[in-house]
Amino acid sequence: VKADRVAWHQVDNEIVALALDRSEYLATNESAAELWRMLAEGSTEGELAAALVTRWGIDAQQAQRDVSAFVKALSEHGVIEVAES
Amino acid sequence: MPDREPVRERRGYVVHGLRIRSEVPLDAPDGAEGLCDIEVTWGERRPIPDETAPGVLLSYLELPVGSSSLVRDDQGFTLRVHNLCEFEIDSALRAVRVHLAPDADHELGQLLIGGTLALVLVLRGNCVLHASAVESEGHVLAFVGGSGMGKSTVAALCCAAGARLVTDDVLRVESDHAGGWCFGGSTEVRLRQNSAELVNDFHDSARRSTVDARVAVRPARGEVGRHRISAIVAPLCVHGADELKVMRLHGANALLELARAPRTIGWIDEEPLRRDFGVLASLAEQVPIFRAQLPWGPPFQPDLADALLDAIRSE
Repeated sequence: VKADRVAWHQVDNEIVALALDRSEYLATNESAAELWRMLAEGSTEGELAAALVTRWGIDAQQAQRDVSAFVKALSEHGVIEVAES
Repeated sequence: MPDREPVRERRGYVVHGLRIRSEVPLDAPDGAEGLCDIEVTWGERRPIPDETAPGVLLSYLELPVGSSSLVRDDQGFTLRVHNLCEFEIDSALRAVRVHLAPDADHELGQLLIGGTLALVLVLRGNCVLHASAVESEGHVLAFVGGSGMGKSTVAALCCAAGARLVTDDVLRVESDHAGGWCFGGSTEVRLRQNSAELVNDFHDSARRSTVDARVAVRPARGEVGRHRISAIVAPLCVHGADELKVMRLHGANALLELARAPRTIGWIDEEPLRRDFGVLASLAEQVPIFRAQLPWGPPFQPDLADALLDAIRSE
């Protein structure tokens, strides 16, 4: 998460992020909020997918697809920087 | 040249938690003379350029009366409403000097000083919402929303039903571990012509026409100081609806509703955005936030304000 470009807060287990340069707000539901917190700590996509499997009981392939879509959306909004592994 | 020059009589006010001494008449409760936080004076008339002043551009937006820009330089800040007037603010944020264009009506300065003080509050590190607030039976309710969303009309409806005015249009808010807080502000509620039927609910001496073609009413008012906020309501005014609906917002929805209603907009400087976001996130956790769908008028349902206040209190 680009801490210098994005401010974020958790409210009732959901996350609202503010892209400062565009005054654009992004909001997540509870499960995506967990992914956001892990991203902010520098977790990998694999770690995010594993957390979805453990926490929400979905299958590994679905979890990987959900994480990829989430990361792609955030990247397109310019609020995260994806590092090559 | 304008046919009337402003009267340079300095008066004391207490508004938004600040003591202000001002030559420009403020829509605010009178305050004690003596030490003040901000001094407002009339400056000389001079041409106001249609461009930003030299310096670092902090905010820019288009207003109905023209472009507006805020610039910081070594001396302080310049808030310029292009071609019309500008407000010189010292770097300590304790003095505001109002300059009008040679042909500008001085009432324009009076009209814009409220928004300018909101801007000064933000520059001083305060969070300011576009909101009105009333006090009813010991509970302070704030109505948030952008221009034309109905917050002033709802506040006037509540005051006509016996509530006391806390502020209209500008609401300074804070949040701490004990709750959400706001400060008393203006003494009048400014209504658009389409809500003007409400003025009949106020005494003749408590209403007047404004320079921007609105009607201002002066309800009974609450204390000028700091108030605990009981609830924040975002009105959703629906013509043709016949039923009041109140919905409690939680989580991201609650915070986003507040984030839609900053009193000062157009920021290029990111620091006020970041700071306000933190205050609003705390408020969203400390204070119940509601969206209220209101059957809208005119004509307004006679029991609408009571029904709204009862619905919020019962939550």
